Amino acid sequence: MSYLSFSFLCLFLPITFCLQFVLPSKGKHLLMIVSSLMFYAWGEPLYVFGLIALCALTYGLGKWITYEQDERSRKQLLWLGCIACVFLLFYFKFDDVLFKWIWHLSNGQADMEQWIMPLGCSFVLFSAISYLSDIYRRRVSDCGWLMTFTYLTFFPKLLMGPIMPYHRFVKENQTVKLTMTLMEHGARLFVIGMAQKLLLADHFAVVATQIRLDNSVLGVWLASIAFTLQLYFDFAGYSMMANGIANMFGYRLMENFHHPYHALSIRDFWHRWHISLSQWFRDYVYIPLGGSRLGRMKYVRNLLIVWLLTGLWHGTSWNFLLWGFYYAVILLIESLFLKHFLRLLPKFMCWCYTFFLVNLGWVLFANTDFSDLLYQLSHMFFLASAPLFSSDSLYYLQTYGSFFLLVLLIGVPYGKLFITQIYRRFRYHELIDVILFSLLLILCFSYLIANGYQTFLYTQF
Amino acid sequence: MKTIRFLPILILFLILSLIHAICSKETHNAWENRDLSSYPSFSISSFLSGSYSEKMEQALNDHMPKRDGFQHLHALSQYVLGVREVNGVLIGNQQLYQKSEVVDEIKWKALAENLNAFAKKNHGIRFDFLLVPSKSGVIVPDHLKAMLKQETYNQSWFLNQLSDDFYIFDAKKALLESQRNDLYYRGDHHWTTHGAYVVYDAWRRQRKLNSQLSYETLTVNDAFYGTLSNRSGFFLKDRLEIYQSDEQLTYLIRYVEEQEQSSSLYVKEKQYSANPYEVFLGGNHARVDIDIANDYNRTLLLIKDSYANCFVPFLLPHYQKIIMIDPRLSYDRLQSIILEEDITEIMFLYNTYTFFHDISLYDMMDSEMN
Repeated sequence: MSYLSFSFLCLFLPITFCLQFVLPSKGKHLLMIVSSLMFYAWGEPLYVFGLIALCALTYGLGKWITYEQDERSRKQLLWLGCIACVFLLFYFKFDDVLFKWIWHLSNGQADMEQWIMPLGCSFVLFSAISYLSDIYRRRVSDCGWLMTFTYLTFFPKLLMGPIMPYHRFVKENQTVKLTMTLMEHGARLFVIGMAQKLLLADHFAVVATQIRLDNSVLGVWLASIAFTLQLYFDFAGYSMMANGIANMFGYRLMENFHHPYHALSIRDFWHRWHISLSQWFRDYVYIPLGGSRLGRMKYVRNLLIVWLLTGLWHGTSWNFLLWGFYYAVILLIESLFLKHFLRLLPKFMCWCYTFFLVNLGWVLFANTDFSDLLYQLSHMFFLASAPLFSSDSLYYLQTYGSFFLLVLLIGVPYGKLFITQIYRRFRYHELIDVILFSLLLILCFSYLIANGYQTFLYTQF
Repeated sequence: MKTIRFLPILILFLILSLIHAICSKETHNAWENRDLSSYPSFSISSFLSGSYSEKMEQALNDHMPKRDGFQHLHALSQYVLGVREVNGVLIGNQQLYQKSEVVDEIKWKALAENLNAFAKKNHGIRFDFLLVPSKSGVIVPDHLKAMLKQETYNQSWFLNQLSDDFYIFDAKKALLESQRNDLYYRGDHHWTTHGAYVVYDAWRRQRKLNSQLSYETLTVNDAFYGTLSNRSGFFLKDRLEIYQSDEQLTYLIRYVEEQEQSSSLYVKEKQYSANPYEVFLGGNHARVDIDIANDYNRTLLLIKDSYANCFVPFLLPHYQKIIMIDPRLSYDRLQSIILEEDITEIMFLYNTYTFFHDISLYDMMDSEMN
């Protein structure tokens, strides 16, 4: 079930929302588990049994680790759980590749059934590893099966995260406080996220796909910037909706994006983009490997491992590996050579440097076909003797220019300053807020009814 | 001041939408001219296969309250933001356009070859080819030129593939020369009766055919919202008119598949229906035979799409019999009809958009020649 499906918006969300007031507060986690399983079963009716089994096994293993006295056995149990999760993840991610290999090796004789990767597989398995690690490290005590199942199946974060660490989830949500302020905040976040997806991301998607392989410099640049913005508004919009829904049920999730395109270095960018994934790799891979404390060579090794794994997490295609390697190299150069130089540069120059490299990174990320990648890069950097602009690129600039302008206006710091400093002083700002949110909700519905929506980009990961 | 909350509005809005969707008894949407999905019945097997959730989603979408209003709001907001393409419909200056795609040149080249072979095989019969451009080939606003260039390219490319056995009539030239601004409906993909008459008149002059008839126009629907209006939600009102001649012709129309007969080209019941363009011959049919009471010893086989429906009334004075075949609905063999009906002329009358976006003529000619 997608957040933007009518089954979710008009059936699942209002019914579950009302049920939480009918049921006693003690049954809150149970309501979340049951509704989360129904939410998952709606889109993946068969895999829901797999999800239940995974939760039960993870909980059982966690319990074993908790009560096991021998430190070595505890470590072995943790490794067992982690390897099982990684194996499952690799199995589903590499299923396609494995299938092809076996088929070739058997000269087309092998009769294998190919499994489709279950929705949210990467996010659930990473959450399971986080759960086992936190139990092993005694960062959190055993909170019972209800909390474990809620953490692993919690529907607002089930399909696309955020991959919140277990200890943090427990800290924030052990006692669910349903306050009007939190629910109101959640409702607003939900609508803003929906608007980001439907009104911005889906429009940028049109530009990004239609002129990705345009025969002009302007066309490919426009398409690459459109993809950069699409990806952000798509995923950040989703994360905002996830946080909003969680708040409407009295839960709190972590922030997944913090104005990433305001970043002034690549390191800064990764502190703001898909924060939950970056923190997961930092906490459960980079730091256990020794981080930057074991000398320069090991630091380089650790960084390479983390970034190649980050690339692999996104997919098995070569471009994701290249994309991971690209960031590993840039981060190394930044931390070893550029760090001091960037501090001396004016902020605007730092921003240009960061945005340029991030945009280039997304070009690698978007192109699974090597010839398409070469085509786009050669046109972007004047290597293909292409014209500066084409009639198509001018049309898309003219037609969708308002969206780029809108993003620029929202993006500059003065926009936020206006809202916080001037608008909030206005006497009827609360009433205007409610009217604006209502209009935004109606507008989003009109887009859903008339045009549907494009699948969230991160669903495939 | 008491705090005003958005949350109750959100929940109320969602609940009311749900109540409306579930209680809705509508089965047909007149604007979109389609049947609405009904709610699926639950079974374990349909749920496990995923078909139940899919059908439920479609049914909920179809029964959302004020669908038309939401669609209009969507189109309006797109327009305000500068977007000129909604659901594949391009928005011009008070005109809506269909966007043509790049043609599969291998397939259409094969079609041209089959048509050439068909014309050669039936040597002695006159072959006319009327490929009528869509609005996008005739009235192109500057800001949409980049998006609408494909149709003109497709048309000239294809016509160059046809052999000299065809009399290719330049409908575009006739339409451009007429200087009229009502050749196409603003919100529909069809040409108007005026457009059809302009092309007919130019074609008749080129063929040196005499016509003693004069026509007067009669409005049959002055609030016609066409398919492009409905698809985009950008509602442009049109007037549907027909040409009536002062001299009454006698003819009999037979709808072969339906086994029905009529003595009028116009079906008045369709005048205020969801698709008033069906007033011409009641819409599209697999085969329509028209016997006309006159002395011309000419039988025309007209292979056509819906553009021909408002064109055919003008052809009546020139033929004794007209057989209309719509390849999208017909499984007839053309060669059999030619032999059985003693065909003297064959005309292909197509709109460029339909011609390049529908493969039924390709299939028909392929089975005819292979």
